[in-house]
Amino acid sequence: MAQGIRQRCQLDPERTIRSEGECSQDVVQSFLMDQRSGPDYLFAIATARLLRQLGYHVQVVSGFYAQPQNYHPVARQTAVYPEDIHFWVEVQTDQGVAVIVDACPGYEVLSAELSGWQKAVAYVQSLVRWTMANHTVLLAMLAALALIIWLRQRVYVGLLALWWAWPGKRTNRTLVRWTLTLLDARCRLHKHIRPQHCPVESWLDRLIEATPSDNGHDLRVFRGLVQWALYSPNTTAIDSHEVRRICRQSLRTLSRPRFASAPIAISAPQQ
Amino acid sequence: MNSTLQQQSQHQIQSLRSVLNQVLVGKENVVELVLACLLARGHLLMEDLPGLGKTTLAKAIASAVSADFARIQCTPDLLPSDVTGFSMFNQKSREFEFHRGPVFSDILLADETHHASHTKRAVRSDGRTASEIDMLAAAVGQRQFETKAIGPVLNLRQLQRLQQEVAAVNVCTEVQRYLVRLAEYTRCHSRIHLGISPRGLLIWQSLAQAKAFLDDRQFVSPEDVQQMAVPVLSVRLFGEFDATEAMVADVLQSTPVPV
Repeated sequence: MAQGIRQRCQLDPERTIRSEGECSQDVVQSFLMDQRSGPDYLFAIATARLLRQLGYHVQVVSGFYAQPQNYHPVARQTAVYPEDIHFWVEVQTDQGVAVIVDACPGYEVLSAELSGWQKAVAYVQSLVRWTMANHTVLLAMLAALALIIWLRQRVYVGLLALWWAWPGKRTNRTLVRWTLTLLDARCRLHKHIRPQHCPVESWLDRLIEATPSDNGHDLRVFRGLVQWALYSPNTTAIDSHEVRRICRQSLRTLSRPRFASAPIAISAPQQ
Repeated sequence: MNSTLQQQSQHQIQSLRSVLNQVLVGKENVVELVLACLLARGHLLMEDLPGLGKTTLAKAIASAVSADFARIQCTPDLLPSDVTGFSMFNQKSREFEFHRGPVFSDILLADETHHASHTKRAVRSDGRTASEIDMLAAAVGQRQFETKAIGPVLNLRQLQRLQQEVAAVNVCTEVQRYLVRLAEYTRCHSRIHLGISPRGLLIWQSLAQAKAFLDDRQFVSPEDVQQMAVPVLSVRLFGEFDATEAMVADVLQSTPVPV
């Protein structure tokens, strides 16, 4: 009922019931049927009248409304001002408990403070309700997440490849490092994981040996570039186009299908 | 470094390598290690059966770098003055004259050190007694130059410049930390009683620099460090008898390389 009044009428603190011509009419009837707007006491009176018609013991109560926006989190207090005076309705139950009913829009009735367990139960209930309401979207999201987790390495390699091909400005050193990271990810995808004790040069040597191709020279140059990028402080200018070409050629030669088809044995470092 | 100077250095290294490989045929790895030791200004301990070219290699190095060569035959009655020299009274001048011992040479070979008494012998740290152990001390740059040409490839001044270039080879922080981690691991390894010392670590780094230089690089990579591990650590780790190489392999495999 309170919700119906809220939807039907609007709060207008300045508006009053006109006396002339309308005095003969019932105030509540005028508020609910004609004006459909008014201050909070009209909402309270209308609610009380309707509830009494339904047989409830009702009283109209006035007091101050603690506005939530006036709550001070540090002081943990709510400031109350003269304009916060408000009217609402209390319904007396048979057990002697007064139940507050406030049909005025913009005013909320505070519920009793819940215990920790009650809060937990309420959270779970709301979660279940939300899950039931959005189960299709949720299932789709879970399926997508599971797919991503299952294919995470492929996704990672794909993202790295996209990032590598991104036409942003990079230094030669950064480009070579990203190329190496992409190669490493490809190897991991096909279970050719580089041992932690294996220097990157030895690892590249074995990759090159395991993947015979016509681009052996470029691969050797790439190996030297990797050494330079990782361990040399020298920033001598190298033609960036040539570096990009060698990196691209190395990625093509040491491609994923090649890793998948050719097993690569990576053993302990040779002494 | 200037690229022209770098090319010149590499040319000199290649010449030296060729000469030594012609003298000691079929032992390219040994020659590389000897060259690395020479460039790192280290002392070289060679262990092998008799007659397999240790003395020949020492003489070849001395000839190739135009250095004075001296040899000490280590015997049980070897005295310090046999190495350092001694003062003899000259009756004509009525003064003591110092006669230099073999230690004043550029290249000194201490041959068959296992015959010397314990106080003078270069004993393996793990207590092994080899059939023959020679000690080669490359004391280049510690005395005045005497460029006596015996089929030289380099002179001593050029060799000294190469050694300075090797010392300038860059070792990045990651590689230095890797070396420290390796050293730490040798010190807490259950089978190694005494790990590598700070001086040993510095020698290891110098050898890695020399290895990088021999490979025509101006920076050290972890691979250089690993390749120099056995030559450096095998005489510096106190551990179980005859298990040095296995311990070194264990140390290398248990320590992650940077990147």
